[in-house]
Amino acid sequence: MTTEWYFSETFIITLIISALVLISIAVITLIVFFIRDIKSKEVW
Amino acid sequence: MSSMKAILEPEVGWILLGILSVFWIILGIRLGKKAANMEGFMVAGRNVGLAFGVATAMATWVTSNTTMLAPQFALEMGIWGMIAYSTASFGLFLFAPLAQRIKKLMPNGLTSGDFVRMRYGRTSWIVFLVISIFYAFTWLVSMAMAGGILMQAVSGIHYQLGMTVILFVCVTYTIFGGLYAVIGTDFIQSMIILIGVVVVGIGIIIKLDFHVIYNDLRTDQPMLVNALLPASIMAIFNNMLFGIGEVFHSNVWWSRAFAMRKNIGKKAYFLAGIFWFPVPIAAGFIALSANSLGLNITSPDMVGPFVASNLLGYAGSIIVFIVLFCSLASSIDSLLAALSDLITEDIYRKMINPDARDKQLRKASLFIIIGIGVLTWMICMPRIGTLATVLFFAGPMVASTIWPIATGLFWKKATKEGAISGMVLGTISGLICYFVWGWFTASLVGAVVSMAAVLIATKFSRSEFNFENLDEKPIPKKI
Repeated sequence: MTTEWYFSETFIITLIISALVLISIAVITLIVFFIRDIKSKEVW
Repeated sequence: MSSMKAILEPEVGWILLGILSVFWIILGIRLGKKAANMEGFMVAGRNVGLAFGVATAMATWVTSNTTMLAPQFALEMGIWGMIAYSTASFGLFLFAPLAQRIKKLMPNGLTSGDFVRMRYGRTSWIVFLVISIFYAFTWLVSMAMAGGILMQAVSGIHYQLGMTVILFVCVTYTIFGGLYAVIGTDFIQSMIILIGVVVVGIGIIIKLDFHVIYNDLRTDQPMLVNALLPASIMAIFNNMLFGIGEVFHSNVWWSRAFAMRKNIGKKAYFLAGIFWFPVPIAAGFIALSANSLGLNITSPDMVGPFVASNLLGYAGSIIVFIVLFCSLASSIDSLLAALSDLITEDIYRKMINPDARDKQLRKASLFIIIGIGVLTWMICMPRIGTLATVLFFAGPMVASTIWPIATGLFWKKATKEGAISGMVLGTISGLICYFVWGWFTASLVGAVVSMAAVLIATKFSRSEFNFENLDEKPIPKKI
C-alpha cells in the first residue's frame, strides 16, 4: 500500500505569490544599488 | 481545444525585433567605448560595482531556458519541477565565496582556464578546456535555437530568420564592447526581465481561477501536485548539481568574478542567487493551467510563452516577446564574450602566440567572436532536438568539474591526478547514466564519481600547492 501526499492549494498559491513579491523586491533593490553606485561613482 | 499558433502577426514581430535589435546594438557599442584595452574588453576594467554585479550575474542566469524549461518542468513534473529548476540558484549562492577567493588569489586573472592551468598543469587544463568549450557551445546553441523557436512561436517570424537576427545583434555589440557592453546591457535586460515576469505573473493570477486549476490537476494530473514524486525529487538534486557545475567551471562566471570590484563578488553572487531563485517559479507556474485551459501543447518547451500569450492576449504577447528577447540576449552575449575570452587567452595566447600584445589579442578576439557566431548559426540552422535534450547532455561534464574547481581553490593538497580522474571518470559515468537511466540521473552520478576521485587523490596526496603561484602577470598594454 502506498501513501500519497499532495501539495495543498494554499501552499501552491503562497509559493507563487511569494515568488512574485521576492522578484519585485529584487527590482527595487537593484534600483537602490544603482542609485547608490552612481552617487558614490562606483558603477564601474 | 486551442492549438499552438502565433499570437502576434509577423509584421508586429519584425517591428519589435527591429526596435530591440537597434536599441541593444547602439547601447552595447556606446557602453563598449570604455573598453580601451584588452583588459577592459575581457574583464571590464576589474572595477564593476554592486548594482551591475548583481544584475549581470542574475540576467545571465535568467536564460531562455529559464523562461522555457521552467514551464516545461512544471508541465511534466508539476510543483517539484518548478522547485527543481529554482535550485539552479544554488550555483550562484555557492559561487559567492569562490568569487571572493578567485579575486584574492588571481587579481590579474582572465579566465577559468588560467586557474586550471596554473593549479593543475597542462593535461588537466586541456581536459578542462574540452569540457568547458563543449559546454559553452552547447549552451550557446540551445540559446540561439530557443531564439528562433520563440520568435516563430510568439510572432510567426520564421525560425531561421529569428535565430539569425538574435545571433547577429549579440555578436555585433559583443565585438565592439566586450564585457563592458555585456554587463551594461545586462543591467537593463535584467530589469526588463524581472518587471516583465512580475507583470505577466500578476496578469495570469488575475485571469485564472486557481481553485479550478488545482481541482483539475488533482483529478486529471495528480502526479503534478504529488509531493512524493521520486523522479521529480531526483530532478531537484540533478538540477542543483548541474547548476553548481555550470557556474563553478564556466568562464561566464569567472570573468564576472574578475570584473567585479574587490569585496563585491561575494555579495553580488549571493544576492543574485536570492533574486534568481523565485524566477523559475514565477515563470513556470503558468504551465500548470494548460490542461484547464484546454490548450493543445505540441511543443512542451513553448508551453510558458504560449499560455501567457493566450491568457493575456495581444499586450501580453508583446511583453512576453520583449522579456524573451532580453533573456536570450543577456545570455548569448555573455556566452560569446566568455567563450571568446577562453579561446583567445587559453588557446591563442597561451598555446599559439605567447608574445601577443594588446592589439593582436583584440584582433584575434574579434575573429573568434565572429567565428563562434557563424559556427553556432550553422549548427542551429537545422532545428535539432528539444532544448532539454541539447542542454542536459552537457550536465555530467560540468558536474564533474565541481570538485576539482572547489578543492583547487581552497585545498593545498588537491592534486592534478584527482582533478583529471574526477573530470574524466565523472563525465564517463554520468554520460552512461544519461543514456541508461535518463538525464535526471546524469549530473548527480557525474558529481558523485568526480567527488570520490578527487577526495581519494587528495587523501593520498603528499604535495602542497603554493597559492601565490596563481598570481600571474597582466597582459602588456603597449604594442
